[in-house]
Amino acid sequence: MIGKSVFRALNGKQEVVKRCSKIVIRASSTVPQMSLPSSSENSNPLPFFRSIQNSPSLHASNNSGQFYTIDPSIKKQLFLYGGIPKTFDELCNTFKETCMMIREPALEIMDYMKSTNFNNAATRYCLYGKIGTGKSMTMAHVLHYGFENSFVIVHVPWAPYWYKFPKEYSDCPTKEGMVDLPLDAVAWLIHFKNQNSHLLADPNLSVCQDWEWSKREITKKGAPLAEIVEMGINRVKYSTNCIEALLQELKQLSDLKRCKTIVVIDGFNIFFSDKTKIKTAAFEKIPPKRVTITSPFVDITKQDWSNGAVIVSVDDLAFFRKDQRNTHYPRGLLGPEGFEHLDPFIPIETKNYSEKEFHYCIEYFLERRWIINPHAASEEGRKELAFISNRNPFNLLKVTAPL
Amino acid sequence: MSSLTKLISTLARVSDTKLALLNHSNVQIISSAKMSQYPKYFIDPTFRNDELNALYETGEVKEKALVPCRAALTEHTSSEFYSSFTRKFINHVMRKGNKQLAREVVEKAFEVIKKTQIQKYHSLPPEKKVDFTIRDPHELFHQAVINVKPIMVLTPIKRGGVRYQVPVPVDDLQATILAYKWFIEASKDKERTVRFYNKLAKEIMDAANNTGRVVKKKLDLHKQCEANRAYAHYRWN
Repeated sequence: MIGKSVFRALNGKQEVVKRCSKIVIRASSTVPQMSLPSSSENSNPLPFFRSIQNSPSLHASNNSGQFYTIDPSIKKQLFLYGGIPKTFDELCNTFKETCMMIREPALEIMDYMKSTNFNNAATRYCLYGKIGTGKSMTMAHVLHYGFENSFVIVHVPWAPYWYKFPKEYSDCPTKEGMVDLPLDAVAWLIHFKNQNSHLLADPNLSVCQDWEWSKREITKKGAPLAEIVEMGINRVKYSTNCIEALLQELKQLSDLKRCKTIVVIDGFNIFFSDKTKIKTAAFEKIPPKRVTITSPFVDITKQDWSNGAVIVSVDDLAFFRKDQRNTHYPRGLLGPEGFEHLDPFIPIETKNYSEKEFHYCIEYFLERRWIINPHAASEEGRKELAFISNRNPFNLLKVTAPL
Repeated sequence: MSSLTKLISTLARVSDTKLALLNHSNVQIISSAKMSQYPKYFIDPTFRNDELNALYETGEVKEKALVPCRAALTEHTSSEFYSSFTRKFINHVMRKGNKQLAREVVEKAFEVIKKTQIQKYHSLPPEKKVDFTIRDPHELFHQAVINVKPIMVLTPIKRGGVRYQVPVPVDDLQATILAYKWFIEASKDKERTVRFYNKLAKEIMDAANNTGRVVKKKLDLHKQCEANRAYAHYRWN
């Protein structure tokens, strides 16, 4: 793999291509052949801003800017416990459908993943971009891709929740000076179980070594992986240990080619900050690295395993407000320690809507009746909306809300 | 109701003649009472694009360019989505000069109105969607205010040492201001956990259908006016 290199991706498209050419075997320039489903034969053809393809594996650059629909059952399985932004979720409830725009960053990651040589160490992608440009949405799209291609999903919807709003914390009985988040760990295990419910019954996913939780409670080698998950959910005391064991097992299993793993962590930079709301029994506030739940997730983003992909996002909002750094670049947000840990990675920037994407989005809003004001559909109205929102997806949603 | 309308018509006739007299005799006094910082010959600013274009087309702009003009207000924008009616309401919602917050709150209420309508629309079966009209929240608010505006109010008038609640007709501006005031009062009267904009949205939607608390308030006032119609002559006696 590439050695450490200085991150120079301020305007780094070239850099990205250079890095990627080493890491992944580039796909040939032909896009995957699209098979048109029977829906195109209907009397009502889909409008131009909607994609015929609802499966992320088949999305290609010609779908860029179009909206695709996620099946409600898949949405329930993937995003029941978080994973899509709250504002977007509300919008979906209003529209009675879950439609997501197919955008360049997600297509880029999926394209790389299709052409990755999975015998090599896990490729790491780092999403960055200004607030509201679609980091989390890109992650949701890639997550759907991973789900479709039967990857085992390790997904943290928004890591800062653990450190900003911990449900309960107590000193760790086994490790000196560390603090447990038992309830949050259980919640994450339930999330994991829900997302991978279709895979956990697979006999290939069996435990590679003995895990001893206490004198009487032991998970033996060869037991199904689901047993560790169940153990963590039923015995709250061992939940964090179970996460640690689970992620180590997944790394081993992936290495042995018994499963593929996709790791998706939103707000990854909080792991390397120095402040949380969590206190020890002595009322001393501690940094994230002294919380037991941190280390397994930092560990799985290392490059010492293969047959997987790691997608993390860095976000200024992950920090506490006082610590925010007014930057959106990975170097500034991860800090020296975090950057050292993640390097080398493929930086992927999320940007504001392009002219075409903005146009498609307005058309979609008009179709869904989100924009009722007759002036908004006119050219002048569109110009004004583009100017006020700066074609930022989140801002556009806010600006069009009272119209 | 018929007696109320009769009462209003008689009162209106009297007040019209009185106002006409007043206007005729004391023009100077009334205009100076407005305390404008601008002299009378200053004209209002033209800030809408279409109005400005019309001025250029008619050639009126040459005359207007030489007349001194008042400064435009902060709420005067050439935005496509400008609505003078709602802008005025935002000013009434504003507290301690925090206009940004007031605007956010009112816009949020419009968003809620829109969302509830769209949600209803999308959950309908396709054949019923044709009959369902989604109304512009600004238009809906306009309709709500029209429904809520009172035609008569009670004023305390002292006659023989006793204060009588005397019914008097209100002009359009005063009625609109009262309607705004009632909307805000009704939205503030809520549980602590309910948001102002949610309650405001509910009140607006109710009033647009001629139901709800605010409309009831108007009807109660009218009823009171009718009950006190015996004191109506105290207005000019």
